[in-house]
Amino acid sequence: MAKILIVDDEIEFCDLLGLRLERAGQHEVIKAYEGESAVQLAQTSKPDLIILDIAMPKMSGFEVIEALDKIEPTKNIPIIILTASTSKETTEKIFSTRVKGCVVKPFNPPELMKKIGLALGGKA
Amino acid sequence: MGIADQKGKIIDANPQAARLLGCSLPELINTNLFDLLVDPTERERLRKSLEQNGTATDFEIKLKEHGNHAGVFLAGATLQKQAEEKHIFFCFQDISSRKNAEETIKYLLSELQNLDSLKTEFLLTVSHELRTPLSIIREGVSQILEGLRGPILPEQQKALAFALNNIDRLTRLINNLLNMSKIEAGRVEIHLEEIELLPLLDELREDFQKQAAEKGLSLKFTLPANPIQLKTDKDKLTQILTNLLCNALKFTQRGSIELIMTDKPTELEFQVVDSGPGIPPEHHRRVFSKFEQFSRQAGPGEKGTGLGLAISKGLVELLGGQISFHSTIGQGTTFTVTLPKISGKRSS
Repeated sequence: MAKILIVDDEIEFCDLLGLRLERAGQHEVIKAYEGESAVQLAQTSKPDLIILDIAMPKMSGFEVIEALDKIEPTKNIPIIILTASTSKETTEKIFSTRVKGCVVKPFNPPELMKKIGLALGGKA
Repeated sequence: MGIADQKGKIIDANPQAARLLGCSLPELINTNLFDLLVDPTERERLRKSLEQNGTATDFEIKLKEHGNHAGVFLAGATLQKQAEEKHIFFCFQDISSRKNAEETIKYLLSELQNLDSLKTEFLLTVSHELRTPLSIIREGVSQILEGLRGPILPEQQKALAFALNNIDRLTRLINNLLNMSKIEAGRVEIHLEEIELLPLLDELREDFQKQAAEKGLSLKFTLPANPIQLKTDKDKLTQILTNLLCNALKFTQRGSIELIMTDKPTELEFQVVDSGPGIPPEHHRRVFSKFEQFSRQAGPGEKGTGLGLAISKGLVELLGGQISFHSTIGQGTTFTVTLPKISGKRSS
């Protein structure tokens, strides 16, 4: 069992994904609906994995990664991107970051669970 | 038309020549023919062409009143009577209509490119805006269907399975429209990496085994015994083979589907062979065209978008390969993809 932080501005999506991770994956889930609180929560709760949306108001997923990378306790937390954006620019930018995987919405549950397992290594 | 001396000084010309250049005849006489060309490189090209070949064509004179547009076409030839010094015989042709037409075509082309770019942008935005609610609907339905929200009746399960299938159909449609648009606009990103092919093909076999079994079809993968590496875009190759296997599965009602990989000296060949009904010869020409669905059937089962093969062809070409097919009515169809071993072609 691992502690997973879900960051997405779509509250319903966060709740649905949270339930899947809790019930199907037996993980502990914490949620943030915007970037700033996600960075704070990552520092205080030290999750084992962050599932991060890209297109969010105020602070994008890329800015969240930048902020996390500047802080010692959060800079090594594995990240999986879960995004609805498939533009060339976004894809290229995602590939240039340290993320462990990228899943496009609407996601296929077994594919996401597999990527979570891989990103968590032994903790899945 | 007119005549100039060896150095290009215009000795004589008819009034039409002066009128084409927008000046009077006395103004034209004594003007240097080479000076009519503003670009020094063009002047030198004219001089050399006359000296070396005795003729010169394809020179455009830019007229002041036309801005930077060339309005007059110049052609010339050197003449030399016995013992006399060389002369240059020249003629002008009004090409302003042609230039205007060219400018219009250029403008329309750039407008079309802008529209195409807008279309891709629009599709990207629409796709993003559709994916978010679609992901919420899919996940909700999926969780109920999987029993994560408690037990459900078989009738409810059946209805939700229909819903889930159609959510996935809508997702495929959005993905295919977007992929096609990206390929056409040259906006597909290619990520070349050295990959092990056998694990990738094992994953594909695992993905399709259940679907083939559900239809009572046998699925066979004939692969080389030794590990094979290829520098390619893993996701694009997966998409190509998935599209071909999906198609084979969709149209084959009995018999078998086989994926054969052959390691050739300079390329790798992938063949997807099915024992389906075959493609009628009158449709062969349009197999890789967009929105073509030759064997679409009413009733249950997966519905296509008619874009899979067009996308596959576009992706294969982006990877520097080729795709072809062979089909016999009543016997089946074989799609063949060949990819070079060296590297793929990068997208623009």
